[in-house]
Amino acid sequence: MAEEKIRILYIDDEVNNLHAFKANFRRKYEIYTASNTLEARKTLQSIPLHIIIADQRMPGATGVEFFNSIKENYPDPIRILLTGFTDAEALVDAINKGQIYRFIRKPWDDFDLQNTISNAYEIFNTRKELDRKMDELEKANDELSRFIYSASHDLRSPLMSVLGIINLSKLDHSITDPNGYVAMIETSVLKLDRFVQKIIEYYKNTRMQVEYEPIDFKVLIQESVESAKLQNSAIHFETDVEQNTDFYGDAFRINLVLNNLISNAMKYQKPESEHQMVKLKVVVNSYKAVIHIEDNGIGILSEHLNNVFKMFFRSRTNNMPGSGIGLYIVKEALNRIGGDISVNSIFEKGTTFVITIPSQHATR
Amino acid sequence: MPQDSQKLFFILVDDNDIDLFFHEKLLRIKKIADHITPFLRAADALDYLERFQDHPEEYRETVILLDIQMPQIDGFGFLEEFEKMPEEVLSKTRIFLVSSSLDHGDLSRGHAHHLVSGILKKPLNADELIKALENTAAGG
Repeated sequence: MAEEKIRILYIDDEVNNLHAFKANFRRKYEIYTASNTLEARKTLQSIPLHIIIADQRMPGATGVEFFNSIKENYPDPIRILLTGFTDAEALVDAINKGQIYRFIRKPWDDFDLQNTISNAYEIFNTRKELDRKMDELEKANDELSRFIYSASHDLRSPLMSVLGIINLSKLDHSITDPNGYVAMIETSVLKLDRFVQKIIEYYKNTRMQVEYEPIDFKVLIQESVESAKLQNSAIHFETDVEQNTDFYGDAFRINLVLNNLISNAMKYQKPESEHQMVKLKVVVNSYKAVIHIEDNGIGILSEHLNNVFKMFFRSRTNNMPGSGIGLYIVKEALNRIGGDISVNSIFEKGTTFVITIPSQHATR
Repeated sequence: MPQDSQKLFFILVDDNDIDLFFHEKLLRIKKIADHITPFLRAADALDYLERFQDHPEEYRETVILLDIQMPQIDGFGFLEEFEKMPEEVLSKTRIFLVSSSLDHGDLSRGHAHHLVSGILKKPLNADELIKALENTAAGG
């Protein structure tokens, strides 16, 4: 980059000015000159320029008019206007419209012009750098999306094959397994799969655009509870949904939040208890939905309450399986939709999470 | 129910040989089908089906278990080609996508396809398959 000479095109109908400019700056810069706009266009077509300097008063077209006419096809070069007249209004207008970067009075002061040129070149480079960074960012985002896709397939697919074969061995009793090794393999594979699914959830939350649609909490809660019951029918569910008004929210993230919290409420039950319970209460008004998720499980030690939303934090007081990513995902998902979460817990009595989600009716 | 389904022909298309083996075994152990033709490549399955192009009357009622992600011709590519079969063949076929994908795009695209009777998750569960077959049985 340091080796590159600044390429400048100077357009002026006064040929003496062109000569003077060349004489002064040819050692410093790579200079192209044109005595009319037609010539200038020819140079534009063949040379990737950094800076264009144009005289304002030329027969045929003014400098501002010329800049205006090339802006669309050659947006990159920085445009500097040279003028002997102080027709302020035209200048102010041109500067405000972003057609020119700066104007220089004629006759120019070498030092001043040189300064202007190096500033302009810096801007040119900054813009280029910005463009490059944008491209890089887009590429990185693209790769991330593809990563989610391949993680969801390539990582899970072999796991599902293992589970399939384990099922098969149970069906045809072809493995003699008095010590239950196959069951241990199955448990581990299921655990790994849950973790893969959590990672996919996390990436989906960060990558997927937030989309608002009408939400019927009665249906949403019912679906979540039904699929939860399939996993553990011993737990008693109580639901209470109060929704008399339309609510607009991001269904994917609300579901993600609900399912993670319900699954936690089920996981952290007291194993010996005969009255395992999960209570869901939803109150919706036109501004927000407030959701309580309460369990009578093992609870969380008060000194751990502040940490439960941190990534990979796991309370040491329990031996429950978990990756420590669920509540982190919940918190992140709520951040994305302007929601909030708080937790109340009494150790060995139970835990209540309270979520508040704003309705997005204003966007409709 | 299995006694009804026994009359069914099954075509399995999956590039994963372990899954293909597992699906075939499962169908046999659970007596869901008596005739199974497995294919590791969608193109081979299409070649096989090609023979019914001119003789649709020889085609028997068939269930196709189709993997979505496959190299070269994937599940959707298969559907695109299969769609060109005579109406008599199409009406005697039920296609279930079988996938480990959690990709929302794939799943909703599958649900939306008019030739797809349902989507089954891997690992394939025999009870779910039997239920899906019952639900889509067009009165025999």
